[in-house]
Amino acid sequence: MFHYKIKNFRKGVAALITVLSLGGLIFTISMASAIISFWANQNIKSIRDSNKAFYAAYSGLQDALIKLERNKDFTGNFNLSVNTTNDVYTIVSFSSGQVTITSTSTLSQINKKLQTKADINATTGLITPTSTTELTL
Amino acid sequence: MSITLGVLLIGSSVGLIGLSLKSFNSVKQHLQANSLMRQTAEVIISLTQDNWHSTYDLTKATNYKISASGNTWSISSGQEISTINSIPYKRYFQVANVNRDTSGNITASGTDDPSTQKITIFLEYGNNYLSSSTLSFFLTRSENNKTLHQTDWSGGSGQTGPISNPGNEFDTSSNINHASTTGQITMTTATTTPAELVSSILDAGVSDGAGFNSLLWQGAFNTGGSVKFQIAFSNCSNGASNYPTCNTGTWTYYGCTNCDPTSCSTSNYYQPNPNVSCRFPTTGTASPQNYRYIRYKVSLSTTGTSPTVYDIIINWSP
Repeated sequence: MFHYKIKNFRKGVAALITVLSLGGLIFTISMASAIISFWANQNIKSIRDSNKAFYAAYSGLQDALIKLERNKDFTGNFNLSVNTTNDVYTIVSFSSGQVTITSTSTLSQINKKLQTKADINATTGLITPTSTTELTL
Repeated sequence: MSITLGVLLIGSSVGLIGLSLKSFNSVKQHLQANSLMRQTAEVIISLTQDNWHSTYDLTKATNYKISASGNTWSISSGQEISTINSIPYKRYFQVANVNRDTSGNITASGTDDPSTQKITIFLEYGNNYLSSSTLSFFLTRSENNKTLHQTDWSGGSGQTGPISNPGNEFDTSSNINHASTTGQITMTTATTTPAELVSSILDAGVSDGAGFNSLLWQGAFNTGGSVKFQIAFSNCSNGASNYPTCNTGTWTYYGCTNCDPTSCSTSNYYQPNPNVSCRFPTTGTASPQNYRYIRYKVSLSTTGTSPTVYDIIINWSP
């Protein structure tokens, strides 16, 4: 009788250990999955804002280019409202016959910075973009 | 006890996995939405760079969609309703006019700038299209910047055009010395009475009309000199105002005092200093925007010595 109880007790302990081990493992994996998906969901807004900020900064480059085609000596900086008021800040500067346009957009703590370099013909004012790149912040 | 614990752990795990799957599905939808928005933006930008009129000519505040046929994207009216990776979506965009103030900055009020448009892309997606997103940006007619540049008039008058490159000839002149020194014009006789040269009809080659940005000249006023410009423009090669019939009207020349786009008329002149751009107006009868043909009239006068003009340049965008 005593041996029978001992045997059952051992079986119960073994079952408990098995359940705890397997269940814990499954629970841990599930919890990790839940945490990762929660984190990914949180980042969706950042990705969306990043997309919006990118094209807002691109708008600044576009605006600067037409301003230069209308006034080859246009220089300085200006604000542009694309997603929110004055969310794009663009700087136009000259150096050695080349103009550099740097446009920075800010949206919900996401910043995007794009830069276009262009040659300007000294006689005709013809604008020829040579590169457009995204700069790291 | 083991069974109770097992049920609790597995039950909560199943719950968490269900939550994760739902969340991952949501992430997948949003990521796909971003890709669709970006694709639309890039297609619109590319088509506009290729032909400004592909977006400018669209009816404002009306839904349009992009669609691919073979290797070519095109724009048509309506919404794109489709499903991708089992996620339904509606995708469309709208175009809006953009105003600028007198300094040329984009503003809510001001005057319309036909060389700037605002694009807004809309995406509705997921079950019953309950999720949505928008993406806005400005496009300007700044791609493929070009110039109509004349730096030599020694070939003389008689070239009416239309012509895409003026070369070394022009249409008519009075009291203009164009031949003594190649690469410049001066007054034959220095006088206060304006000497005039009318260019050939310059053809931008854009059938729906080009964007004319600015006027620039190189040279010198010299002592007491004055250099003034007017431009005429039309969609008819004969200067008529009733395109496409083109049988009424002729070339009408406009200028803007002090290069002020709000001070333009047929009796005013563009009078920029040499090497200083003078932007063209974007609205009104004096605006050359979205015309195919353009020509200039330059007037020289002086109270002392004749001014000298080396280059006349019209900056434009196709």
